[in-house]
Amino acid sequence: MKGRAGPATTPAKRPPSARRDRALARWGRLSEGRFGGLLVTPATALMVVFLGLPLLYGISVSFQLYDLRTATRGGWNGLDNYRALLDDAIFWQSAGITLRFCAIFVTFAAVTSLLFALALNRRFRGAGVVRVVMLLPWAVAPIVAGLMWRSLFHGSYGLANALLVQAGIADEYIQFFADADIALLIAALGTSWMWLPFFSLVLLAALQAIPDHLYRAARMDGANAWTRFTDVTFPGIRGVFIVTLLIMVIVGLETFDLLYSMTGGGPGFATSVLNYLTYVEGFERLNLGRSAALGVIITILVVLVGGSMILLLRLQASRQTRSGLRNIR
Amino acid sequence: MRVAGVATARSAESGRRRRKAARLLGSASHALIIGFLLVWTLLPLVWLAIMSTQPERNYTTAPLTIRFDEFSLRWFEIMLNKAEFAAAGINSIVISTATMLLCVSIGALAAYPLARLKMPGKGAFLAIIIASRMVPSMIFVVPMFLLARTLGLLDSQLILIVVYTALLLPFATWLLKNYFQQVPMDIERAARMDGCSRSGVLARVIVPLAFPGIVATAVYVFIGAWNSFLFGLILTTREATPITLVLSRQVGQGYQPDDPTLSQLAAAGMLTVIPVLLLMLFLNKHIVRGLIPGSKG
Repeated sequence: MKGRAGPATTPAKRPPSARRDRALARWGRLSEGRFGGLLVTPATALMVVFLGLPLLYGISVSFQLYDLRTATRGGWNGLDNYRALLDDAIFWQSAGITLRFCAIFVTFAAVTSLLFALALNRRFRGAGVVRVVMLLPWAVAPIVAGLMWRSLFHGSYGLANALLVQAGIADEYIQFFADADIALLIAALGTSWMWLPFFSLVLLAALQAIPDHLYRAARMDGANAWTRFTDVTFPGIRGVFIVTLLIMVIVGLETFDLLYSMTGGGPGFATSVLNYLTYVEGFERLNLGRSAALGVIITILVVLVGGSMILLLRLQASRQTRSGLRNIR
Repeated sequence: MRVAGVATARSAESGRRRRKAARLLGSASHALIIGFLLVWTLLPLVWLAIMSTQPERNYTTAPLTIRFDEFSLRWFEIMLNKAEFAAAGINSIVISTATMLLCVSIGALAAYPLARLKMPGKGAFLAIIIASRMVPSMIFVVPMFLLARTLGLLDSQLILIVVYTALLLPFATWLLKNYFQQVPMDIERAARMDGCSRSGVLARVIVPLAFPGIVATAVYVFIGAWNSFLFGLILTTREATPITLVLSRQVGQGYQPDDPTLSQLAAAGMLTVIPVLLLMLFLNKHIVRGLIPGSKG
């Protein structure tokens, strides 16, 4: 290899052959664009073959009659899968559950992650330890997180029940997961638990980007803590906050593992969000066509949310540029 | 309301008292929030740890009778000795390691041009990376299942490695691109001026200097593959089952009032989590710095 950069650890080289020299010269003469293109090829190939093509194939299956149980593999049936879904009461039930789940999850996660971020934005004893501890849920597999939260509220061996009975608040163990609303709530809490590290850190980074002199100016103007928050802090992180909210919605739409181990979609059907229904349709009811259609619907929802996120970011960026605010940051 | 500049001694004193009270209130609520954060974060972990090291009767009835002298690791032993569970552990190790190596190597190759070189289609590539993060993985289950079935690769480690690599590669490439961009351009330029080839720059300059970032990316990919569940559920049955899937099978589907051997189940959960927790604690600083660019610490 040419170049003196790096430690000289190579042993005595073979006498360079003319052919080798020509090959190296050809490599070196590759234009930057071509060289870059070459390096990018393995990644591109992998993504096209194992992401792009399956995506297209999945979309195409959603337009086919493909039922493993009745072993029918008909051809195209157009929008029949979609029509059947939209006519299915279960679909709308699941959509409602998804909406409620997202609402609970986003509300709780938004408030809590903001609180955590604000609290972490201060210097205090043990801040380093808290940062490390706070990240742990990020590393826990969602399937295990579901198990953990199930174990906290289980009707037969849950910690919550043990504490409630011990404190005399309850007479006997409560079947939390037998109640549709409570089960959904616990599922939202569990999902929050997994994601708060990420959201808190994102908001924390945004908080740290707010220049100190804005706070000092506010203090000099006599602003109290609340006013400082509404006039300095929140406007400073508003963009990031909105993006975070939208990511939370996407997370809510994509939750699966935790629901599988925590509630199995139950009790009955109460926590079967659209994502869960997609799995059930495809691999319990074995209707691959409808499952694919559900997958497409969820993807459209996610793209809509993500798209509005990008739009909002662009809007805010242009608004800031126009009002000259951009230069301050 | 005090008029600025007209401050008598008395109002200065009451102002100071008010500020002190506000600060105390702030400190108290701050401590409360941090306390809540710690309890909230640790309680599920601690409870699972307790369940995995205590006999069932100690924690399945109120009042709780957690005893130090009944602490035992025997449920861990039992789970590790279960053939299915041990085999699943090995599956997960193999699959996660292979995925990590593939993602980091292929990703590093792609990240270098994205970080440094002029290249047509760079913007498109980045757009694809962002798009791939937005697409829910659930949409891949049907096509991946059919693809695996056609290729006869159902229930093989290989198909999981392929799927996980495909899913994690975009983000890994993006992470590596960011890390590569943090390497100072001057060093690169100096190396190039010394006659180092472009691939030489990548191998001898960028990689050593961005090594912490590469490690962080590798850990991220490993954890992502290890924690995956959905595709293990869809694509494997017996041979290539990862540890997350075997764990879920211990639980059974849905709400079962008589789940067997709770402490064993908890031990299995702990075994699924501990390797990743250790990795994270070990490399915590790098990971935080890498995932949230610009964050302090």
